[in-house]
Amino acid sequence: MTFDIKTIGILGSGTMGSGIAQLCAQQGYEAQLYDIDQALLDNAFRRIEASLQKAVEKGKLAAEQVPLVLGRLTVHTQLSDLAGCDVVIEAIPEDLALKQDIFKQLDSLCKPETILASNTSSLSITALGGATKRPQQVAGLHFFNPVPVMKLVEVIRGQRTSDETMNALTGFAESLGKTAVIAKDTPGFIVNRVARPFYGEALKMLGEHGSNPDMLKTIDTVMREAGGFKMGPFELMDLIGIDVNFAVTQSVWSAYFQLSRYRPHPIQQRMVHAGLLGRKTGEGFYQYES
Amino acid sequence: MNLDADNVLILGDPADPMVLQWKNYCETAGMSTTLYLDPENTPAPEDIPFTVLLNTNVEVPFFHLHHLPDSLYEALDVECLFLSNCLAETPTSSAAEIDNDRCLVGYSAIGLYVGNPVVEIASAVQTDARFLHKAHRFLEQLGLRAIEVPETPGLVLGRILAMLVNEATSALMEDVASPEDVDTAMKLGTNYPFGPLAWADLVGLDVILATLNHLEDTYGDDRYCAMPLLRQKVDAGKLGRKAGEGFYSYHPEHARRSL
Repeated sequence: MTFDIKTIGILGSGTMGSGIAQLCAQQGYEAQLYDIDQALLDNAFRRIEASLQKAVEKGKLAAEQVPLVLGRLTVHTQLSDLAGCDVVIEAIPEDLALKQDIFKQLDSLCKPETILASNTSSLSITALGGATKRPQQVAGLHFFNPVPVMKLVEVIRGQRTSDETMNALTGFAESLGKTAVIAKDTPGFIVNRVARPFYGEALKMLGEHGSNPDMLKTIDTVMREAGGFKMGPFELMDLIGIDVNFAVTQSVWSAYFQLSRYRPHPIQQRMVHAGLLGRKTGEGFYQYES
Repeated sequence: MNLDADNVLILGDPADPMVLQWKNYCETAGMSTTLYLDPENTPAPEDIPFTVLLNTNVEVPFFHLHHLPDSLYEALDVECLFLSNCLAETPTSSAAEIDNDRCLVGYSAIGLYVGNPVVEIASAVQTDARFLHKAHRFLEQLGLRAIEVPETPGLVLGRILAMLVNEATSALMEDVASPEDVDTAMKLGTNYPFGPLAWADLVGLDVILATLNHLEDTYGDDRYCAMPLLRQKVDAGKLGRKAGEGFYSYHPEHARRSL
């Protein structure tokens, strides 16, 4: 590591951003959470407080730690407040133009040593680095949802990312108690690429057996019981959100210029059009009690 | 029809660990078994009629059912169940190769490679419902859970697993990550029970390749085209654990990872 990492900026106070901010603060880092709207930040702060309280109830966190952790967490609506951060992790919506714009702003605001990282799950790290004058200090740091539970972080090397940046971020991810894997900047990185057939083939089989009312359950049952997966493909799509899964599929497919292996399935699109997005809407491939 | 199986003829290579596993299941259930490898070197079994013919071969053309000698058919019970591995050939096309086509049921036992006692079974178009019932009963006698699935190339788990392995192989070819990191990422990032590459080594890269070839033949879609690296490993005999090397090496001197 070329310098000590102490202060972490996190952009975006959604599920991933607030999860990452909480994790950083819990592991002793100063976490500065940024969003455009104070109300969103207040909301995120309350969620983090509640999550810490839950951890105390479960005996996973000492009660006296709560004020200390919260003391290491600040919220900001001015991007310039994050100028002194050692690492900034961007977790804003998956829109390349939006992300490139904020990377450009960060590049001009932040101190020269700051590493700019993105939590994107499928956009190009190289394209984000290209929006800055410090592409060697731009990398991917891809956490998984829920952040406190999932042990993995993918550290993504863009076309021009330096070894120093990769080493610093790998060490940082490990200091958060995560297992870091290194991936080259390619569409979907490791997990979102290799997992595509789990959904794609299940959807294709479902489509081909359209008149079989049991096919969906049969596929999930086989994958759980014969395969040993914790959830079948349709159960997992319902949990992830059919819209989210569809968006990742489309993103990888278009990043590979319509390679047929990654082709989305019309069933996914139909579910999205119908507003049947999975657990979060009470119905997806299965029905859930609200 | 007597549903209980008592005498099982197993077609397959005795060096294949899966063949021995089936033999074990049958004998533990109190059935007698005969392994049948090669019509030229193994005398056709006689005297006792076989009630189940279990074809474990994934894709050795020599073993395709229509290559079996007449003497072997004469050793079968008239109501003998043909339970045939259908990772690389659909039950319907397998049944079309034999005279008593109504007796054939397809199966896939990918779960057994990782200790999950679950077998997928699929009827051919020609299958008589009584033989599907007999297949259920036979597997139940072995202590295995049968899940009935419609005929689809590679059946459910074989198809999805083969495609996961192929995708992981394409990631290796593109140098996205090391084999270890690919497997770690899939276990920790999305809770897979095994990394796809280590899983392929357990099942056999030849089995994965045969399943992909079957899918590609069926659909004529390059979506299913097996990655050159996978073909290369199979050509070089690096079939996975059973060969001492696949995506990982299992030779004692560099025994390095546990699943």
